[in-house]
Amino acid sequence: MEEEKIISLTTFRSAGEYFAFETIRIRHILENVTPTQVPLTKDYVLGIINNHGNMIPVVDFRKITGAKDYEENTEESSIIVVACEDNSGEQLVSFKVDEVDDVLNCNIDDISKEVVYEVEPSVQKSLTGTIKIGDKFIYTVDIDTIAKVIEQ
Amino acid sequence: MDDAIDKFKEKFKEEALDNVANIEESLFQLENEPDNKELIEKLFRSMHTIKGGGAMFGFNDLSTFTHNLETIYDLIRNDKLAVTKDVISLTFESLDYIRQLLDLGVLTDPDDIARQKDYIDRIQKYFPEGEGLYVNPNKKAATPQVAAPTQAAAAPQGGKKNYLVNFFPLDTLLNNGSNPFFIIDDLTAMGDYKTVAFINDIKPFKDLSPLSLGIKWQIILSTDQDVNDIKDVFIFVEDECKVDIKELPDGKIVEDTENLPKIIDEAISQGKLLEASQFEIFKTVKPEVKEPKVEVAKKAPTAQETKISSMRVSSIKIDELVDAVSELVTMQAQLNLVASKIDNQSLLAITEQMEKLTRQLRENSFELSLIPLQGELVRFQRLVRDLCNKLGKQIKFEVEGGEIELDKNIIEHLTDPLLHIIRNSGDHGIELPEERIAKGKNPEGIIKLKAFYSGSSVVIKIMDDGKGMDPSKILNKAIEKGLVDPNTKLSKKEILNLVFASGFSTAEKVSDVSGRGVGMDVVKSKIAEIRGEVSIDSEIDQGTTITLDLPLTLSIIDGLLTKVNNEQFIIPLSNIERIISFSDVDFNNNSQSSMFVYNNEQVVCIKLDEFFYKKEEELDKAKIVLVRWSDKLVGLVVDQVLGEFQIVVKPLGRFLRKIDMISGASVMGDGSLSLVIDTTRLINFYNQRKYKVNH
Repeated sequence: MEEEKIISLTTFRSAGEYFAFETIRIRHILENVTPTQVPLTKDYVLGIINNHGNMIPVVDFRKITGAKDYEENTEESSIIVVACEDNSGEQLVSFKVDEVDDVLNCNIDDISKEVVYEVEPSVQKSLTGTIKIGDKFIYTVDIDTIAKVIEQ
Repeated sequence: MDDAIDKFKEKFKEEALDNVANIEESLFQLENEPDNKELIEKLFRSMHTIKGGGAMFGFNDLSTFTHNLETIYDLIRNDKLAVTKDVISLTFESLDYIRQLLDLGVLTDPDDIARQKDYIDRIQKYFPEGEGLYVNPNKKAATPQVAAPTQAAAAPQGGKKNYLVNFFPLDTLLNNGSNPFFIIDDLTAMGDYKTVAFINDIKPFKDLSPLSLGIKWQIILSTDQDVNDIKDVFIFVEDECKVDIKELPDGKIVEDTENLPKIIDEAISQGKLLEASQFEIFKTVKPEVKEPKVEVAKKAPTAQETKISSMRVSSIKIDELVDAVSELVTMQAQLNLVASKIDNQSLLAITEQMEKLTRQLRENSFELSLIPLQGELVRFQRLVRDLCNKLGKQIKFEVEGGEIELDKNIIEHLTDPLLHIIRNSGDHGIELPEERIAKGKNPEGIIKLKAFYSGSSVVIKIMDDGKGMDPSKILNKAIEKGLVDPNTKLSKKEILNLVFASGFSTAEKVSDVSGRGVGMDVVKSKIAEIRGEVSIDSEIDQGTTITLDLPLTLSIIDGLLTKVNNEQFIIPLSNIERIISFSDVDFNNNSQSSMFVYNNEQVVCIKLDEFFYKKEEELDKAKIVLVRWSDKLVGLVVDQVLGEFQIVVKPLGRFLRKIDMISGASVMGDGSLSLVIDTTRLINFYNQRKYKVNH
């Protein structure tokens, strides 16, 4: 029973703040490739990339969270491919972030439900908790919730 | 261990569902030709298989239930019960119940058990009185009862009959785990017998395989049971052996000690099978002179090779194959590119050979995922039948082009929309019989499904001869709902197409049948998901036709590769009418205009640069790709035309579903991506935008 309380999180940096996805949902971490633009999409959709014959949309995590101050590309810029479940199976979507930081194990009880950090209102609900590691605050991101925003 | 059993159970369920589907199909036929013995036999056998398999895999309740149902058909095939509409309706209902039972497995809920009892009681009402056929659900033994009615049926004909039963097991019989001796035991238990075994085909010891038999049996059987009962013995090994049953003359054959041993000895020594004609001598008192020996021996059936003409493959495997082949096609394009750069003759030769093979492989594997529409039709037929009963209407469902094949992914997406359309036609389209008579129509309405190939697409039309749709009513409703501006002038076609607008059909008049809140807009979006188009045509009192225009396959198209703002776009070749140079077109000296005249036709131009990227590019070198849009021509202005390519379309997935004017993307030979334009959607979207801007 004890073990089930531990979850693995992958943390990343986006516009100076730290966020985390559940590691179990991550399928690939790719280097920063230039996606193919798709016209008339929302501005945070950078385009699509080809991953083993699957077309995966790339969402700029910094833009979707409404960050203003960030460098477009750095040496550490990465694309994190995550999986979302739906009726027809697994669908992949990816996020461009400034840097993939760490993979850490964390007790569920250590995640505070409170998130004081404010992002774009439509995305706020996707931030589900805060963990403090050292002097860093890391915000956990619920992939399914943010996926719904992208789908809108 | 449990896994293995579960697997078998799954397999049984799958097969049982197939059997149920077969029964359903046969039932529809039986409804039209109630005297068709062959059909009844087929029904009986399918039921028997479900029953037997059910008992074997622990679906005991299913087995008991099916046994009762089967008994009805046993009565029918023995002419003790007539095929009536009630019987067929009951069978249909029972089939639904069997489907439920397959899901439920063993019944535990007392309600379910009560319901089962209820069903069985209803079925048993058809059993002739005095025949205690009822099988207590708690009792397992079912077999003795099966025989009861048939024995009774055969008895009045009196006396025993003689049969020559050929039983030639194929090699698969042993593979299947069946024991031929059990079958022979079953047969010989039916009466007096004489068995003859032909062992000529047994291989020499060194070639002997434990899985191949090489023995043929002929059994001369004297029994008071009829042919059907003999056939039933072989019911589970039908496909694994050749069985032939011939009636022999009446009289004492098996008991005969004079002629019979002679015939048998001769047959064995010559390795020649017994023929029914050889038994003619028993017919009359005066034995005829035996026919001169002709060279029949050569005709004698040699153990036939079994060829499996079709097999069941999990659809996931096919999907994987198609995916892999799609990748291969892409890789091939890359190989071509590299090979032409290196320019080495032998490499080029191999590349060319490879390409041929790749193309062939691609065609073959895409064909694998095509399945005929036929399989889905029974459901529609069923729907119409249920509708008739529920609504008190008389509707005939006609099908044309059921053999048309479509990508299985398309068919999967097609069933629900088609069910909805047909339900609508039956519910709202076809009038009640009285109303139809008053209008001078045949009281029986017709819903017709017609499928045919048209160019690179498949067209499915659903036509009814009902009351049709009134354009003025539709327009009023649309205005009321605020879907259109009351001042706009719309053509009849445009008005009819308003029913596809979302928010048009609200469940104002909720009926049990249609109007579950899903409207035609859902149909449209479902069809759109598979890159299809829906249109509608209707005449008041003459009927409504709904046309679905579907792509033949989802994944591969011929396209024209173009460049817009340095991004690659593909326009499906099937939509393209012509390509012309921008500079050749006369814009009436108005460079801002987006209209020009081509072949006396006014053509609207969509500048993709501007539309996609809000950019104004130099247009001197631009090309205009003329595409068909319903019955008009529309020009798409692109920067560059690169050529014709065969491409594998990959869907963009649910996150970009809203951008429906891009139907997918394709990986090009150099690894870059190009976007596939759905021209119809693009033009619709463009028009909507313009409409919004102008208002």
